Amino acid sequence: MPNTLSGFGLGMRRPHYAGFTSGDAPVDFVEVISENFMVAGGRPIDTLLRARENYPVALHGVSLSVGSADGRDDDYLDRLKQLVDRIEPTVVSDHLCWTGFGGFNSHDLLPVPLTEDALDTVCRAIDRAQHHLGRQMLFENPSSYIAFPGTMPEWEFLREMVRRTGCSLLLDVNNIHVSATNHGIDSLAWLDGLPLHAVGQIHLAGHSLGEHGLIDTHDAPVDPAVWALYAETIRRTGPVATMIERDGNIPPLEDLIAELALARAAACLTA
Amino acid sequence: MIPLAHLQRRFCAWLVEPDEDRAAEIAASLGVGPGLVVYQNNYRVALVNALREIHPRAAAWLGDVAFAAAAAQYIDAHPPRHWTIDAYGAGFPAALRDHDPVAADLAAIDRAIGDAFVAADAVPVTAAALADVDWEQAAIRPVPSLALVPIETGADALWLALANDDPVPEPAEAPGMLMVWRQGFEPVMRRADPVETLMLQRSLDGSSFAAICAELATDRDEAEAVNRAGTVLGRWLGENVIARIA
Repeated sequence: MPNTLSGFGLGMRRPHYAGFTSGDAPVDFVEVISENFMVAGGRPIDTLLRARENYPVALHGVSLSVGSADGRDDDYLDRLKQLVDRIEPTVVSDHLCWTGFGGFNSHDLLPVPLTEDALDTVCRAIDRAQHHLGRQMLFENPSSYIAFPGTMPEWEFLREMVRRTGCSLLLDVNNIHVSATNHGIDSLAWLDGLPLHAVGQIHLAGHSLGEHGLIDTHDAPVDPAVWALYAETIRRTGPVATMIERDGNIPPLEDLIAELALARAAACLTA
Repeated sequence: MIPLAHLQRRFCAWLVEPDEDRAAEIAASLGVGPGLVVYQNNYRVALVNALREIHPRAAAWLGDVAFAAAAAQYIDAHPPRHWTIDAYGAGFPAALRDHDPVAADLAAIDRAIGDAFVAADAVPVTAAALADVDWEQAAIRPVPSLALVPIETGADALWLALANDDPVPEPAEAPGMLMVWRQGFEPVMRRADPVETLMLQRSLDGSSFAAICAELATDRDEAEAVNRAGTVLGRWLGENVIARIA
């Protein structure tokens, strides 16, 4: 089983399960939210196993919380390992974020202050997770709505994180656009600083405009500015497995397949 | 820059603080811009949505405004502590009890149905498995999805009506015990009578079938007790309630 994805995929969401379990959906891989399947049994596991017969699977977690100063409990890693052993996914990923501290869990992807202190914490947590799972993981650059004063640029933090841990980068192009816009930074300059050699997967998604800037809502088609940034990204990286995430206002599967064709076209044009 | 642990403790305190003035004080100490409120909004919206998804019939019964108010009150009093959001709100049905006993029962059923949906798989035993059982020692092991849910109202009938988009019957007091479990991939429920309830409670505790029969015989004839327990056992076999008899 190769540990790299290729081609073009979609996030597998409940309204579209039938298309993936039947194998009819014309995609090269599917990605699921790990926690939705970290359950004892029942239909969810059966659904994922049937999709797994048709497509390579990416497990994408939201609860590893590598940025928590007090670390993640073993129960989570044990449960994730059980799912990994059962599904044999092609890749396993999570986010550069923290979700809670001191027993509290926000169930949101909270912003890591990009300090040396936090970098040590994050790298320790990634080392531990990769060791626990016995495999390399990918970590996604987050959308951020605030910047803590006196911290390093996110690309510098990610570069060092990749160098120290050997993890791969799950590059969310929409998140670059959202964060760069919110912080008044040129998104191409953001891209310039990233360790693009380590990108193992790309996410595309839609966002919306909130009272305090752009918000990563995953409830709309991919924005034209994000498509442009994607084209520039793959011009620099070469072919990388790319997928669209959609979690709100979910359209028919055919619409997402059509949107994914835009990513295929962009990849062809830059090849 | 303050140490990471201090910053995160302060951030969490701000996130769960319902008092706006107090929240503003904590936010100012973090030294960040107004985008911070996006996280507070995300936190509350995600939890309200989770409570609604886990308790869909209770939400339908209460309506959007009343459910959102009940959820907000619960969220302020009970910050989440588990890594999976599916575990959030274990005390939500009980928290609804004083406000609306029907909603509380509906929420308890919602939650039990959801838990059964993802419970561990088990192959139910059939009548053929009874042939070699040592009834003096054997205990009945229900399927892992089985749960007993005490209710005070006729919410079970309401729940089914809401789930099937049927006319909702008038709520009434109707205390009883529901058994909720899964047949294949489908959660099911029905009322359990007092004998079944006792047999299930004792079986879940690991009591032997013989001990259960002896307990049943304390207030009825022994032959009648065995006969009654046997009838219940036969029904459970037909309903895929039993994972093992050993």
